[in-house]
Parts: sequence; C-alpha cells; structure tokens
Amino acid sequence: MFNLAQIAIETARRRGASYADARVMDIRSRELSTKNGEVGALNEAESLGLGIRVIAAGAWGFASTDRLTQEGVSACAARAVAIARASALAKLKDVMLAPEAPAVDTWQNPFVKDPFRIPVERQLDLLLAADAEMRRVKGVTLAETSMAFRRIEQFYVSTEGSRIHQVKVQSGAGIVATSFAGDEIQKRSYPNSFGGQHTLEGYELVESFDLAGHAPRVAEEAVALHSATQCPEGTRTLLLDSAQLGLQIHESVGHPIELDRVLGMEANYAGMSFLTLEKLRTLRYGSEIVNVVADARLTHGPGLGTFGYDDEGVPARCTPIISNGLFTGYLSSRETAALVGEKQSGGTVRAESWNRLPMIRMTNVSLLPGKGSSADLVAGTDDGIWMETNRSWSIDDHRYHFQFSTEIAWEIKGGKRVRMLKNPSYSGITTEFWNSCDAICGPQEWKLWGTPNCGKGQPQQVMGTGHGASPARFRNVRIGAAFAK
Amino acid sequence: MKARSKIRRTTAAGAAADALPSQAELRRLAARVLALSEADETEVTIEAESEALTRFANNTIHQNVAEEGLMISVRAVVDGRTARATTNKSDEESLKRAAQAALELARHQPKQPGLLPMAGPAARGAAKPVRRYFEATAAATPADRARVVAALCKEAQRGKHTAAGIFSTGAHALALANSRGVFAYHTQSRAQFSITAMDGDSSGWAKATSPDVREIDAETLARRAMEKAALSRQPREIPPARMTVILEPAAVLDLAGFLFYDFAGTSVLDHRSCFNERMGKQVFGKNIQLWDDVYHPLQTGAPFDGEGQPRQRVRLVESGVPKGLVYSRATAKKMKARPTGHGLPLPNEWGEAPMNLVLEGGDSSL
Repeated sequence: MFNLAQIAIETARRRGASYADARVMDIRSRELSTKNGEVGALNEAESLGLGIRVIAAGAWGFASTDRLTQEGVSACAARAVAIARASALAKLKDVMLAPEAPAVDTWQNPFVKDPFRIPVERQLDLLLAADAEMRRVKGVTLAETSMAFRRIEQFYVSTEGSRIHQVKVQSGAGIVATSFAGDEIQKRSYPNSFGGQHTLEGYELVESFDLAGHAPRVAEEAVALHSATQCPEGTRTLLLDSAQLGLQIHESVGHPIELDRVLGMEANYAGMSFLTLEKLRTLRYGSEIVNVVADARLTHGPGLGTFGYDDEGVPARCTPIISNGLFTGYLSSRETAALVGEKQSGGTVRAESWNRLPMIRMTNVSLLPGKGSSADLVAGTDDGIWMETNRSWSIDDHRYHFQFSTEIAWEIKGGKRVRMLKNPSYSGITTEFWNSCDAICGPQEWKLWGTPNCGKGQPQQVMGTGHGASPARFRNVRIGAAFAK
Repeated sequence: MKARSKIRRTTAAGAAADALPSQAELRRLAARVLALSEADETEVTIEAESEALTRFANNTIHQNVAEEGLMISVRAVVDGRTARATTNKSDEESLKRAAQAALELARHQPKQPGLLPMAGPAARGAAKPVRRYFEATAAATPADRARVVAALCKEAQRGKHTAAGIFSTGAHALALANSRGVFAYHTQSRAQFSITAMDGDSSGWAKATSPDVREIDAETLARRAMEKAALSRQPREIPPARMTVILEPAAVLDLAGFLFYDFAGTSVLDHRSCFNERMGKQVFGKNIQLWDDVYHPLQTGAPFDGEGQPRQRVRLVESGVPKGLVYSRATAKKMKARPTGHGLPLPNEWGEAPMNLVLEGGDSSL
C-alpha cells in the first residue's frame, strides 16, 4: 500500500505540486443491534481507498479514489493537482505550513481481544441477554442494545519524507430502556446515551460493562421517571456526572477551540467561535480549578482521540487548553498554526475515511481531575441538583449560549440525594458556566468518554473524539427552562 | 481490480460524467454478485458516485475536493434470518467474500419472526420514472466551480463582505437487484450552492440545490446573502416574548424536518413518535398540508426504497390533522396497512422514513 501512496505523491510532484501527502485507509466495521428481543442491525463493511492532498500554484487540492492500481492512483493524483490549480483562481495568498520533521514509524493501539475474532453469536447473546433483562421490568415499552467495532489501518506518505503505518481498533456498546406512558416518553441508557461508550480498545471493553447486570436498574429508572417530580425551574447549584460533563466539554470547550472555526473556515456550516485570537492567554475561561488539555497521546488513555500520528504526519501531542482557568491554547493544523504564527501544529488533523479531506478535529479534550469523591461532592452540597446522562444538546454557532437536557436528575438537600427529578435541563453562557465551577472530583472517578458521532465539514465527516472528566459542581446555573410550562 | 477498470475511468479534468458506470454495467455487476451467493435469497445494492465540492471562506477557496467510489452491499437471507455485508472492491474474490460474509452473519443469529421473503417484481409494480440526471451538472469541472466562486469572492470583497460557502457538483448511480427478479435503477446529478455573507456584526445566508447546475443562480444567491447581511446590521437584543414571526422556507423546513421520523409506522409501533395517541387529531393549524412526495419536481432521490419497492406519494397531514404514515413491507404487515415504498435497507431497527417531505404552500403573499 505504501507503494501506491508513493506513486500518488510522485505523480503529484511531477505535475507541479510543491507539497503532497497521501493516505491509504483500509477500514473494517461491524455493527450489531437488538430491539425488543429481536436482532435489529447485523452488518459488516469494508472500505479501501486512497486520498491525496496537494499544494499546487500555492493552493489546496484533494482527490480520492478506490481504484488502487497504478493507473487509478496516478489519475487521482493528477486530478488533485488540477483541482489545486482551479483553487488558485480564487487565491488571496499562498498556503503556508508550519514546519514538521518527517516521521518514519509504525503505531498500533494496544488491545486484548480483537472484536472481529469474537463470534457474532457470542456478541448477539450478550446483547440479547441485556435486552431480555430490560424487558423483564413492567412498563418498559422499548428495549434496545447495540455494539459497534472498527479497525482502521492507514499508510501515510508525504513529499517531505514521512512514512507512517498505523492501526487503530475501537469498540463500543450500550443499552437503552424506553418507557412510554400517558403522553410522555422517558428513557435511561448505560453506560452512556447515543450508542453507549466507545474507546480505542478491544472486546474486553464491552465485557467490562456487564450490560445484563446493569439492565434491570436502567429499566427500573426509565419507568420510575414517570412518577418522579418535574425538575423545578430556577437558578440552582448543578452537579454533573462525568458522562454529561464530557459532552459539556465537547460542545463548549472542544468546538470553540478549533482554530479553523476561529479563522472563519467553517463559517457557512458548523459556525465560528467566540474565542477570537486576542482572547488567547488573556481570557479567564473558567475558575482557578479548571484545567483542560487536548491530549492525543496514549498516556492520556485509549480515547477516540488517541493516535500515534495525525493525518498530517504530526506526532500525538498534548496542548494545554485551559490552565488554572486561563485560556491557553487552540486545536491547530499545520496550515492554521502558520496563519496565527504558532511554531508548530497541535497535531489534531484527522479524516473520517480515505475519501475525506483531513481537517482539525478534537483529540481527547479533557477536564483534569480535582480532588475528593462524588460522595464528598454531594455531602458538601446543601441545595442542588445532580444531573446524569445526556438526552439532548443545543449550542449556538459561536459556541457561547447552550442548553442541555439529561435523562435523569436527583435533588440534593442537606448533603443528601432526596428525590428523583424528571425532564431535567440547564442552560448558560460558556465562560460564565466554567467560571462557576467550584469543585471537581478526583482521579478515582475520572473517566475518558468517547463521542463517536461528532459531525463537521462539507462534505460532512463523522469523527470520534475523547473527553475525560470527573463529576463536578457549578454554582448559580439556570435550570429547568426547557420543560417549563 | 481488473473488472473495476472496465466499468469506470477517471480523468484529470475531474468531471463526474467520466466516472459513472452505465445501467447495463451495474446490471451485469449485480448479476455477478447474485450468482456468487449461496443464500436462500440474495439482494445486492450498488452505488457508484463521483462528487466534487469547492469550499470557500474569507473570500478565498480553502478546500477543494473530489471523490469517486463504488459500494456493493449484499444482503443474504437464510432460513428466516438476514444480514448484510458491504465492500467497495469489485474483484471476484471480494464479491465472493462479501456474499459469504452476509450469509455467515445471517446463519449465526436467532430466527427473525417478522422477516418477510424478498419481494418479487410482481409485488414491486412499476416505479414512476423521475428525470434527475443532467449532463451539464455531471460534466462540471473544478475550474467551472472555481470561476464562479472567484467572481463572487471578488464581489464580496468589493462590498466589504466576508463570504464563505460551497459549490458542489456530482452524480451518482444506484442499482438494486434481488434473486427474485427485482432490478431497480436510478441515476441522478446533484448541484448545490450556499453562501454566508458576513458584515461586521451581521450576516446573511442563501442556498439552492438542483440536479441541474444551470438552475443554480449563484450570483443572485450571493446578492441575496449580502443584502440580508446589510439589512441585519447593528442587531439588538429583544426580550423573550410570544410574538408573530415570519420564517423563510429553509427555516420552516428545519422545523418540519424534525418530524420526519415521527411519521414512520415503526416509530408509532415503538411508541416513540410524537403522534402516538394523536393520529387523526387536530395537532397543527388547519392550513398545514404535508406530503411525502419523491415525485415532486423540486425533490430529490430514487423512486424506490431500500428493498426496491416503488415509493408512493403519501399524505401525512391533512388540514392540520396527522392522517398518514409511511410503511416498509414488514411494518405494513404488522400494522395491517399497505406498504408505501419507504423501507430502509434491511436489516435495521428503524423500519422506514419519509425522505421527501413537502409542505404545501398557502395563498398568502409575503
């Protein structure tokens, strides 16, 4: 495969490209799901192809093909150069890239059990057992389970001399119990909503969930929510579990720090960012205890944003994003780093597949742990609301005003959980919210969550990102407005 | 790989028209797959596409991409069980492996009580043809798109606007065949232009899509976006309150679009539709008429569903009352209704969905 990629960049160079990189990606996936005791989806897929990115006449061009012959990749490379020359018709200045030393390396994430070697019937048995446990609970109208696996093998070369081979294996699973009664739908998910939890691990991750063991609790909570009190409206102390906090980080930290957004490159689709350049190292993003990093290194954990090298051949790096509350870093590419005068790329560029252009994507954007346990957090809260597991999200195109709802909440009075609340929601302004954070639990409850469904770019690309967090507390948050009557 | 080179070719000029296989080529490829399968019943879906997208921001082209691809998806049915395997490789060995993988996946699962035999051509009937392929779109080149974008970027600069947007062109072909004799084919070209014009504290947006690139008037759309940006300068906050609002068609579509899965029969069966217990009741204003209509001249997509069944025009809301749902074959049987040709590719847990919502216009002028 390296040979084909090499043919592509040599063709591009011969046709006048000043820079080219090419990726061959071989992607394999498996998806299984059940619904009310029956198999839903049972699909396997494979996709193999090459994408080449070039700079010619000072402008970008990208083309992709699944015709992996000498003729096919040469034609694809020639097309990329022709596209770059067309781009130059509307060029204001030449594309510049921040310098990066070429890398020759191979990298693979560690895992114990290859999910593609586990028999499908064993995987289905595990899902059907959890499905059955949920349906045992009276009042559950819909039981759903799912698993998904992906293996991505990638061969990358560049005209600067990089030659990198990477293999990533990711796994994920989840269950959902839905209860319809009267005119209301309530649901509970485990270990997270919207497909569960996904990481760069093998089948051992799925086995660690004990889906069937958690199914009765999940189902009982879904049914119990119908009789719970409506979450009150008002300004309250808010406590978030680490999964919901993971999505809060994704939407209100991860997206606004994407430098392509900041520079207007996503203005017509995903939007822009309130984090304009003058705010770097001047904006108080959060309170003193808030520390956020974007870390793609394996030492941070097996997140969906973990890799050896990004799709520009930049090694995995850690960028401090918020340091003791101060805004200190963006997610950058070689091009955007050069545009803002940074010395090097943050190493955050990835593409969904061989037929997509690599672009800035969140790596593992994580809130670093504080201290204490969630039991301590609750015990230290006189009056508050604990919210858990995302149900919906909404944030404006500058990532400043947001509203989230969660599946379930509990009211806290005098340091104790006193009652379940249904239809919880909260809203706020990004910097006010993070500045209201006055407690973050310690490393023992810190978890690296996977968000497998982050959409960005045109044509749209779906990417997995990682977000680590421990439960945390926020003061004076607007609560309950989404479902107020 | 040899077979592939026979059915597609790429030129450096990069027009979609150069890359798509013909209907006859897709029919032959489908027949090859069906012949390789050892399942009781087999269905094959083939999609070929050649798409290109020119993206601009800050009054310059910053991303400019093209892709070509072929996807072959095999569904096997064996002893009341079904599963799917998909590949983008069309050599004999890969096709055989995909057919075998679908069969093996299907074998290793419990029986599916609701699984129907695949439909034959008699049950399918004739799909009303739709003409959605235009050579002018498929033949568009990167230089064609770049010239349009370059002119608009210059215009934006002159007006002290910052423009961002896309101009895309391309074409795709879709074929579905099964071992009971169904063969359905659709080919379509696609063009889209959208622009956001920013002007300090304001912005304006406009967009158009059409299978015929000659219908896209990028200059008028850009002017409209810039006019909106000019009109919305110096915005001021207004307190939350109930008030009358006028939404442009794209905004209305955003709201109507949220409802699309609520009109699926499976969604009602699963009690997750907002129309549960509300079918036949006055839910919307009496001036709301909503259809699913793939044959509408401004609509897009194939006139058949994920099982090759012809799509029907379905009235979803009549005078504000939700009256119709869409059904796959299996859901229709469960709900004692007639299939409407809206099934998603099997196996899936979602059933079906209306893919071509049309909200009828009224008689008011702006």
